[in-house]
Amino acid sequence: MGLELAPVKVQSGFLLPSIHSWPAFFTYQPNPRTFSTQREHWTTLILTYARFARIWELKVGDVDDAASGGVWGEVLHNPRLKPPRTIGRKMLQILLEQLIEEERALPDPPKQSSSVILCWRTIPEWAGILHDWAVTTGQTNTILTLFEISNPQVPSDLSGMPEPLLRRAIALLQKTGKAQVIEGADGGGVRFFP
Amino acid sequence: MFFLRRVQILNSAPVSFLYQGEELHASQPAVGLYSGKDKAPNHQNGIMHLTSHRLLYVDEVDPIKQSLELPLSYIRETEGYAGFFRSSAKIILYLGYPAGEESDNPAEEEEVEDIGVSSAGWICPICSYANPPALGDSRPNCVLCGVQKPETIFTSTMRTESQTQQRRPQTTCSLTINENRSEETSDGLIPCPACTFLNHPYLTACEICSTSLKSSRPPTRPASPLPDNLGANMIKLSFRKGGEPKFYAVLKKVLLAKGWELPIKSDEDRSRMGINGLLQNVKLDSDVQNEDMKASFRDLEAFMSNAKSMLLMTVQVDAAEALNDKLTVYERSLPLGQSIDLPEEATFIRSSLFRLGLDTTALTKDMVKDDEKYFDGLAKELVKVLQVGNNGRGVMGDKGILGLDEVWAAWNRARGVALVPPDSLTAVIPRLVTFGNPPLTLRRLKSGLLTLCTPQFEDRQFQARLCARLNSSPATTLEIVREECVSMGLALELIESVEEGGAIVRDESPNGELQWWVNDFERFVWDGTCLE
Repeated sequence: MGLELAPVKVQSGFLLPSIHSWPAFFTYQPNPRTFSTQREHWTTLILTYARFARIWELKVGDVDDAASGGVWGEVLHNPRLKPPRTIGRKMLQILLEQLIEEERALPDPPKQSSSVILCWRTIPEWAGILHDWAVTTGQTNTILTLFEISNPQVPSDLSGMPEPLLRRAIALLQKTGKAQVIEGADGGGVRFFP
Repeated sequence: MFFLRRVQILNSAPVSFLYQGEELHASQPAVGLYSGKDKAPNHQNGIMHLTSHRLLYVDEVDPIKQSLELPLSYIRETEGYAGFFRSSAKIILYLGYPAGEESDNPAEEEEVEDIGVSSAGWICPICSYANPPALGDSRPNCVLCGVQKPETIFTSTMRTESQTQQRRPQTTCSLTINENRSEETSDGLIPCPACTFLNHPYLTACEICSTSLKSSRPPTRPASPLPDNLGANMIKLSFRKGGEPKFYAVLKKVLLAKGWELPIKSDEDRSRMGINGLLQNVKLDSDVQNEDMKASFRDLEAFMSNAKSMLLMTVQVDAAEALNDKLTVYERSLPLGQSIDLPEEATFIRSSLFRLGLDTTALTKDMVKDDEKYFDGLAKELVKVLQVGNNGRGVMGDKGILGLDEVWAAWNRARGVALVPPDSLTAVIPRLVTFGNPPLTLRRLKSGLLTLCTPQFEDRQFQARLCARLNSSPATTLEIVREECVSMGLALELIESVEEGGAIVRDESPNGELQWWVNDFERFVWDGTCLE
């Protein structure tokens, strides 16, 4: 390849990989082998960026406002190319399906694959973090509402976590006996055990 | 006036009222009739038709009831009267019985009627066909169905209730008109001369106005003088809207020709009609078809026998070529500016040579015994067409790849005669590798398109070339098309087949252009933000 590509630091501080500056990256490749490599790069990019920017959700519709400054604009759109490229909807859909399959994304609303909650940490990881947080903040054996967990006074790693993801993590903890779900009027609560 | 007979004209088209064998010679509208010196009422405006057999007056107002016919045989003499001032041109006809038909007692109605009827047309009781007057036959046959004219027809048809009609045998064609009696309607009612009320035939005085009616007995002919006197039996045709001179001339000609005396062609015509006729027609048609088929088969055989000689003729192409060469040499030897006017044959030879595109005769199966040798020969021929041809570069020219359909078409076009079927092409293709220069191979593209290609366009070679090209810079499809000199579709197929191998990747820009890059996906490692 003639041009040497380099990573690009964008406004938010994220460093985009050099592949992002390659036009062919944005076009769906019909060759299966080629595509599997392409897909891998894309999913890594998406998850890394989500973790960096703490973006929980991604949907196919985000392609449309990528060029005009949506949350995903820096990743899904590259204005530095001539002409500027944006990822196609079809390709993004396929990526989301792949993420769901790898259990790095949860369909939200359920049973479709156009809009997902990204698990930039895996659910077991989240479960661990959740439990650790409960222990370190001394909130075991008390009933906490889900809202309290995702919007704590002191910002934590869990701040802003969407409810479905939280529930999944709690469910996992429940299996190992570290948490207990309490049914309640609005949303219910959870009690962590040390 | 009694020479004229009433006739029913239902349809004004002459075809409908002309008898067989009768020809229409002239027609003139706006004609009125005079009986003697007086106008004939009810017959003042009509079309006068002159046929070869009769004069036919078709009334405009009431063609069914007031049309008349006059057999031309009754006309003794004619006279023309050019119009003067207010009176229109007229033709005066002096009538009389032709020889042999005269009756001594014209008052004897029946006889007259009999004779009159016998020379009038008759309706066949079986098929209702209006037969022409039977000349000379006592019992003629119906033209359409062949049934003999029954005797009773004279007396039976159109019988009305009225007894008074008994002695007046009628067919629809033979109702005589007598000026001097009160006219009757067809159902026997007598019109009153004063008030025109139609009275019952038995009455002697009008019911309404009591004027005396004429005798209710069948009106007999008045005792008019014998028709020796020409003046008495005279009718005039008045041409209200002109046309008299021409009509008169035609009338004289027709009278001279005496067409009514010729016998009607009976047998032939009769057999052309009816069931017999239908069968004959069918037979005639199939005969014609058979003849046509035989003729075309004969032609085909002639062609086949001549094919050989036609092929031999192409051998003379060599002679023509020699001639062509000589001509060229001569042309070139001429000083600049001059050119010879080739005779027609020379130009024809040249153009045929060019059109043939071959300098040998086209190879046909019967020329070569051995199948193998035959296909080899064909292969050599095809190679010549594709790669040598007229211009030294052949059909393939600068292109290294050609669709098989184009190959086949070009080959057949060059051969001209004895076209080669597609399976011969399929058989020949494997041999092209040996004979072609550069060797041609068959290549099947993703869409199923079969092509002949030089090694340059073989899979691997093309891929290598393309990758080398893309290594320097990415190229759009269009650029590749231009560089490789192939068509767009073909180029796309070739490139996509390389993409299938994974050597190149595509890049669709938002404005629709398709660009191609060397596949570098594997090269990249993650060098973005690392998080842990």
